[in-house]
Amino acid sequence: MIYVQLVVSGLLLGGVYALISIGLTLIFGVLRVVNFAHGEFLMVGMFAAYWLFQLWQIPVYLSALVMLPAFALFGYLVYRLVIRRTMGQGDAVQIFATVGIGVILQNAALVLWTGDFRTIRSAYADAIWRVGGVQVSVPLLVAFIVAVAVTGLLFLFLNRTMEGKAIRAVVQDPIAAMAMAINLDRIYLWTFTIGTCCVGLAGILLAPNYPIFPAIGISFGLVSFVVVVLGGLGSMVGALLGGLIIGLVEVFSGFFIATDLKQAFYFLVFVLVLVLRPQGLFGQRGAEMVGFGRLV
Amino acid sequence: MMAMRDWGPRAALVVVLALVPLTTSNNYYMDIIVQVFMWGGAATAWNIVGGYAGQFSLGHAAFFGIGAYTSSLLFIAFGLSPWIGMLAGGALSALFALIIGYLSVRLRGPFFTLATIALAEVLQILAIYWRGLTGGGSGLLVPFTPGVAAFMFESKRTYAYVGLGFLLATLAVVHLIERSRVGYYLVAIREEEDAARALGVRVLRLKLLAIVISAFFTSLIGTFYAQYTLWVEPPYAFSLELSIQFALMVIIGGLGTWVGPLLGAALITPLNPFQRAWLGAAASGLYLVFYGLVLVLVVLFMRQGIAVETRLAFRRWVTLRRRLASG
Repeated sequence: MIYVQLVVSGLLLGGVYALISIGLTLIFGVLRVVNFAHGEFLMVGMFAAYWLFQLWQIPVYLSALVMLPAFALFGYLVYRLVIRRTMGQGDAVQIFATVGIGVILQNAALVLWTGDFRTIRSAYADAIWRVGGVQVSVPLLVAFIVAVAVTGLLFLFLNRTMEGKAIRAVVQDPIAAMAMAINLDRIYLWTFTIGTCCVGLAGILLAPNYPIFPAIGISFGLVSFVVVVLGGLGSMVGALLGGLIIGLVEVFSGFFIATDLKQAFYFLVFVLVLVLRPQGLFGQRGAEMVGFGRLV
Repeated sequence: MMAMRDWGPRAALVVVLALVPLTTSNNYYMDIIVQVFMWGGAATAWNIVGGYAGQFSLGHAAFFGIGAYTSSLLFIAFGLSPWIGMLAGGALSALFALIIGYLSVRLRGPFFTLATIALAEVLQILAIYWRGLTGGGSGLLVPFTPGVAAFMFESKRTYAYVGLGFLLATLAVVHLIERSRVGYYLVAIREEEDAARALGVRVLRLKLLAIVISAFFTSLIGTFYAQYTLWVEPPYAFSLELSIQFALMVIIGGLGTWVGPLLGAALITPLNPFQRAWLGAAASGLYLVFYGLVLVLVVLFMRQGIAVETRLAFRRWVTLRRRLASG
């Protein structure tokens, strides 16, 4: 029974990780920009949920709907003001522009809301659903379901709509896409905005389950890099499966070896993947260099 | 790259630096001077990999931490002089750099950066986990027993000169690298890795060399830090913030320039929040918001950093003045 419990916990945690990582992989897949501020975007989402709940008692799942336009605006501004100017520039510009955004967001949160750990006190935060002898945390289950749903929706969007097809065309060959009258700048803007909304949503859904403080973005950001590299940068399905694998690795190593070391294990997984199979499990070979892959 | 005519300004800078600690006996200002030398040395070491070879490591805190812990642990456990412990730490860092480098030099751009972040995180987690050895999250206190052999001094001015020694040693190594074949190879790798490889540059070997040299000196600065503050803790000594700080100073000062990292350190350190704990978390956060903003603005609008941009501005001004003079 303990194994079933561990697998269930691992998969639920993995779903959370997948949800965090989808936005990162989408942005990388299309813009070829690794957003080092990704974890801080998540932290902003968590604080948004916290304050909406604290000030106006808006339930977390409702605030997800309220906040989506705000995240869209946030993504729009970050793209317009910073990311756009880094496109086609060297590694130094791309890496440190987003690192800088991360530093700004994390410390702005520290200034505004101090470094205190905050938690959302609500009934469903600790809601547990018992099936047989297995315990399932309800908020994590919701996050898991949303992760699968978001992946599914993005899949449909990319495959069935004209905009989605334009995004995929840009991924395959930006120059050819441009020749087909696709506005690259607009595609990048759209993608960055959608990716930001995904991670903001993830932040809101995680808010009931985790302590909320300015530096939490660092650990979640690192997890999402691990997940995305494992799954293959730029691959949606890879992010989902990579998230599940990392969730399982964390839960099992935490249980059998040492809780304090569980993160060390998935970082080792990360380095091994980077070294042995840098394209990840589902990424296209060479995607980690400069080449172009496919999203779905 | 630099020609022989740079000897003059560089020698002059060294003289000026040597005079700086004599200008004050105020402990507060002296502390800033010590820190400028210390962080300037660390940034100069980072610049070998980040600036010259163009490989942006955000895991250099690992080498800093290894240096700080190795010498402090050897001193506390066996009474070994930190001067020797420092070399042991340097050797250990160089070895670790060889491992990190071997695993990650094939990765390019942000992937190299991610791998270095992950490896430094692993070390941080291990340092917190092995409480018996490292003191865990609460850190390690080095007992204050002043003396030359113990690498501890009563006066901050002495620390300033020792720190200056470390800084100058690092600057001297970079000076030599700049003038050697290795320096040109590294820049070739930075500018166009594939072309450099095609021309016969042994890319992987040279990247490894750059990381190892850089790690060794970062580790020495780590020991100096431990001897100066007499306290090391994993959440700081192995932190991503620290790695970002090294990179930040170099980028603001000028990537791949000799004087840039020191310039960056001199600009950043006086406002360093870590020495202003009395201001509280909110105020130090405000400084870091400012640094983040500066980082973004510099990479977007002053790509070459302050050292190069200033030189260019000066040249433009000289040309303009000549033109005006000649009518």
